[in-house]
Amino acid sequence: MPPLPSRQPEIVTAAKTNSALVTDRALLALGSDPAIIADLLGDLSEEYADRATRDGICAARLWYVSELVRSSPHLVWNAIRHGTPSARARLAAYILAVGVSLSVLTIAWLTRNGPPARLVAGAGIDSDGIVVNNLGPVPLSMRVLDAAGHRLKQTDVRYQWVSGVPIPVSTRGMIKCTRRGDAIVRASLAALTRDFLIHCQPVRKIRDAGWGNFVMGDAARTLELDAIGLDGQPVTRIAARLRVFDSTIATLDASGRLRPLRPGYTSVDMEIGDRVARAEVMVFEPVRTFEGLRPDQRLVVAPIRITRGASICWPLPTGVFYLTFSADSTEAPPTRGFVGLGSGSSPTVQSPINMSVAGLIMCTPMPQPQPGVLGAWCRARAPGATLILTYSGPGGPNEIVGSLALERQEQH
Amino acid sequence: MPIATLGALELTTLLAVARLKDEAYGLAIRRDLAARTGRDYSVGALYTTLQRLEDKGLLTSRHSEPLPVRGGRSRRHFTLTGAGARALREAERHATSIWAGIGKPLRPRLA
Repeated sequence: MPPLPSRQPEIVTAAKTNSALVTDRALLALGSDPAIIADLLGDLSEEYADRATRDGICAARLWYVSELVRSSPHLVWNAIRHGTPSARARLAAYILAVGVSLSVLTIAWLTRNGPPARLVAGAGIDSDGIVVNNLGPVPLSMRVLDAAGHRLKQTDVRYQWVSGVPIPVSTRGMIKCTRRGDAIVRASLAALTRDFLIHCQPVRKIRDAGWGNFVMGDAARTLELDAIGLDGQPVTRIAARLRVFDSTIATLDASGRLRPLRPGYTSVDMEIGDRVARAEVMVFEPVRTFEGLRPDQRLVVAPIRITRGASICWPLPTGVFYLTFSADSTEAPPTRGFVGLGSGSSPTVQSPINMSVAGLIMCTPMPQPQPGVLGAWCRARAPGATLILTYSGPGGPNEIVGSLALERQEQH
Repeated sequence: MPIATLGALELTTLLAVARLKDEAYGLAIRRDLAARTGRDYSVGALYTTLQRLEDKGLLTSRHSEPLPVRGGRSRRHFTLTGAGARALREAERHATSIWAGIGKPLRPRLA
């Protein structure tokens, strides 16, 4: 067996000694017991020399580094247990610095932006395109994303009209819908291009945003409104921006449906294109009777079921309130209003449902808001006032199902 | 004086020191542990254990002359103290006690 080169152990020892000086300082900086560090480095050096001779310098260095890394937690723990207060403070600062650095690096790595990879439509997107309800020029809301979905600040997206209804499109993405119809617009950013379907549905005015009445427990639903286009016809595709005034009364879900939360009044502002409308919303509390209502029960609704030829006597609270009867079915709607006057029993007969009041109460019928709905402002001055419902008109179903709503005014 | 309780690594380290006698220094102890337990303990783990045993008074140590192979550092030789020897005997007695009555059931049965 050839003898080993005589210089090799010396070279190994010299290299190891230089590196040990560096690691010596680094480990001492941790605040561990210097005696332990000296012993540990001595052992590592001794074994390093063996391994360098046996396995080669590279393998020995790799082992040396891995052994230092494996030993670090023990040395840190040793520094915590046996270190001086200043050594512990220094160690805490090191750990904090390393933790913060690693966190910053991780966050930076995770949130780094890549090159533009996708163009996606922003606001006003429908299932298959972008809905534009504006009459005036409007910028196309386009977002530039990288492959990981991070939004990039890119302002050099270029646009051009491709096909469909002719609409002016500026290179910066301003479009103006002058008529109803669909158009294809191309967005380009360097090598990225994407065609977007634009639904031009300009809204000239909003009619009948009106009221939305809910009963607690109702499913969420969209508010009805009547948007009219330039041609005077209803607009079928609408991209509305909705905002509910008091979200403790009702809240909007992701698809723009309103869900009642508690009895009360609120309103919903609707921004459609350049137009703005407001819908008033009332959420009623369902009750079985109007007897024994608490002062805070101001919006209540009770179910009504009345058969032909029958009368229902319904107790009313005192105070000022708006009373509404609405039939669930319009098959046989009460087509005209009621109502009695003054003290005592003073019925006013209407067909097919007669509504009258009795007791110390005065009511003023209001114009019929819609078919099947009767309403009146009432003031009951003393307990004992009642509403009398009679279904006696000819024709129609044998039974009418509906609801009686009470909207009480605050007493001052 | 109460006899110190020993963890598993502390016990095996004490045994290695007892076995190696005058040759009981870090690297030799680590090699002995690796050969007998099959586990490659890190140098840091070993020295913190040795320091703990010394703090408990179960080991004592002395330094050799500086050696070039250790980068000019000396070896630290460990020796069992009287308390260390008592702790080992107590550990053996304890192990014998808790193993008492068990033996046959753990022997493999012949089919």
